[in-house]
Amino acid sequence: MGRFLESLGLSWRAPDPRSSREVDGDIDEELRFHLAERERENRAAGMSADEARADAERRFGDFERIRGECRRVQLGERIVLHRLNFVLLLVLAGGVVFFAWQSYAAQRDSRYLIESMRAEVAQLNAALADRGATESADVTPGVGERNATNGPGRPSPGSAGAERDLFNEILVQKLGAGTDLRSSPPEEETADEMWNHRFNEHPDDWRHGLAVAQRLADECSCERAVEVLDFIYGTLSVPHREQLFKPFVFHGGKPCALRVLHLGATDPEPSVRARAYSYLRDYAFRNFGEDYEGYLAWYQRFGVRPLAEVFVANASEFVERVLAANGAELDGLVRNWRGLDFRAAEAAGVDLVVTFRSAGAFELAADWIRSTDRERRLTGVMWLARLDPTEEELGEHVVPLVRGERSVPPELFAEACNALGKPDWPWVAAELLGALQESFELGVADRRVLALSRALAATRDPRATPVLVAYIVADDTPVTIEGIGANGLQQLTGVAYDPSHDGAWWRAWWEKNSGRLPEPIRGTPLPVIALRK
Amino acid sequence: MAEERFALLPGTLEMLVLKTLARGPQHGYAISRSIQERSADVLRIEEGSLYPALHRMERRGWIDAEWGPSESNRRAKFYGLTKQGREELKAQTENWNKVSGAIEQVLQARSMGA
Repeated sequence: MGRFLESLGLSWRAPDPRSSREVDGDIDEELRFHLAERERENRAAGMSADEARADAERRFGDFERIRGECRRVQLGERIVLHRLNFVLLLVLAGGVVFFAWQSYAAQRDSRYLIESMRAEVAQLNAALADRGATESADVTPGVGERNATNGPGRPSPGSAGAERDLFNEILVQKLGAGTDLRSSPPEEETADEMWNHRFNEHPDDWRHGLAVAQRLADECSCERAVEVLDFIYGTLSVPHREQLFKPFVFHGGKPCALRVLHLGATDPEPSVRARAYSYLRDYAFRNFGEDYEGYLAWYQRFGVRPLAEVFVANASEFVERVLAANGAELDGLVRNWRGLDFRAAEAAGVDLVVTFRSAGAFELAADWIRSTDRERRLTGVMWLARLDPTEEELGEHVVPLVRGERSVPPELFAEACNALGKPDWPWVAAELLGALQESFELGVADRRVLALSRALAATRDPRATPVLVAYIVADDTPVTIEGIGANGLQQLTGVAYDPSHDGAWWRAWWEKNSGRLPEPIRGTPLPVIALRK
Repeated sequence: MAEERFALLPGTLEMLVLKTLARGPQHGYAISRSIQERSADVLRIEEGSLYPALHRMERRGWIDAEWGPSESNRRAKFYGLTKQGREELKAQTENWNKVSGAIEQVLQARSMGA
C-alpha cells in the first residue's frame, strides 16, 4: 500500500511543512555541497581548478535531471494534490453553475405560482364577499364547540373566515417554500477565521501549529498577525499555543514579538506561560516565572517600545544589577544566568555583545575567573566565551585554565576547552595539544581527554589528527579510545567511533589513509608519544 | 589496465546506504565516498543518483535528516538511520543473503554438471 501511494506521489507521512521555494533551496544547496566537496578533494589531489570542476561534474551526472528527480520526490505529493485540487475546483465550479441555474428556474416557477395564486386569492375573496351576509346565519353554537379541538382562538374549517385563513395559511406556506428557494449567498470566510481554520486542522500536532504560526509570521505584517492572534487565540489548542512564539522571536525577530509573547505570558495554561516566560528571559534578562505582577509592570514599560531599545535597556540594567549585587543575591544571579542567550536579539539585529561589554560585563567575567569561587569561575568562563573574546583575551583569561593549573575542576576545565575550541586561530590547536600532553603527564587524562578532544575537533585543525591517533596508540585504554575516538577523531577524520578501534587499528588506519589526508599532515609519520606508565 | 567496474543491481543502492548509515549520521558526499571506498571502487555509482534515493528513503521514514556544519565548515544535510530504517536494513540484508546464496548454489550445480 505504501509503495502504491508512493507511485502516485503520495506518502503516509505528514506533508512537508516547508514552502516549495525552501524545498528547492535545500535541494540545490545539498547537491552543490556535493560538487564543492568533490572539487575540493580533487584540488587537494593536485588537479587544476578546471580539471577538478569537470571531474566533479562528470562523476555527479546530469545535475538538472537529478535536481528534478529530488524535487519530484519531495514535492510530488504537493504536485498530485495540486492536480486533485484543480479537478475538485472544476467539479465545484460545475456544481455552482448547476445550482445557480436550478435556483433561477425555481424562482421563475415560483413567480408564475405566486401570480396564479394571487389571481386565485382575488377570485376567492370576491366570492366570499358575495356569500358573506347569507352564510353568517348558518354558524351554530355546535360549530363553535368544535373550536375547542382546534386550539384556542383558531376558527373552524367550516366557517368562511376559517376558509380564508386556511387558504392564506396554505398560500403563506407555498410562498414560503418559494422564497426558501432563493437561498442567500454563504457569508465569505473572514481572514481571521481562515487562520483559525488552518490552525485547527490538526489541533494536537505541535509541528502543524508551528508551521502555521510560521506562515502567519511570514505572510502577514506584524500588526495584522497580532490582530489575527487576538481574534483566534482563545480557540487554539495548548500544543499550538506553546509553539506560537518561536517564529516571532527567532525567525526574523518580529517587531511585535513582545505583543505575541504577552498572549502567552497571560495564558491560563501554566505550560504556555512557562514557554512565554522562557523566551521573555532573553528580552528582559529577568525570570518572571513566579512574578506575574513584575511581568505586567515590565510589559507596561517595554511592551510597545522598539525591540532594539528593549534589548539594550534590559541588558544594560541586567549587568548593572549583577555589578551591584553581592552575597546570596549575587550567588543566585551567577547560578541562574550561566548561559547568555543572544539569539532573540540577533534575530532582531541587535548586537548585545557590545552592550554587555560596554556595561562592564567582560571585566566582571574576568574577575570571576580569577576568584576562588567555583560557581563564579564557571559562569565567568561561559560569559567570556559568549562575549566574542579576542585571541589576547583568551590567552590571558582562559588558556591558564587548561595549561599549568592543576587544581581546575573538571567542569571548569571543560568550559575553558569549549571557549577555546574555535577554528579561528591556528595557535589554539597547539595549545590544546600541549594541554593533552600535560594531562597525561599529570595522570588526569581520564578526566580531561574528552573535553580536549571535543575542542580539538571544533578547531578543525588537521594537525591534531596524527597526535590524537598517536595518543590512542600510546594509551589504548577504553577511556582514551572512547574520549579521543568518539569526540575528536570521528569529527576530524569522518571515521565513526567504534570501541574496537584500538591503538593497533588506528595505526593501521593511519598507514593506509595518511596519504589521502590534507596538507600539512599528508603522508607524515605518526609522532611517537612516550607515556610514563 | 583499467579496472573493471560494475553497475549496481537495481534496489541495492538503498541497502548500501542503510548499511553505511548504520555507522552513524553522514552527509550525502560522505555516504557516496564511503560506498565507493568500501567496495574498493568496484561498484560504479553515478554520484548524483544517490540523492533521489536518499530523499525517497527519507520520505519512507527509513532515514531522517538534519542540517549541520560539515568538516569543511559548510552547511550540509546529514542523514541518520531511524528505527524503521534499521529494521529495513535487517530485512533487506537477510533477503539479499538468501537470494545470493541461492544463485551461488545454482551456479555451483551448473559448473559441477558441466
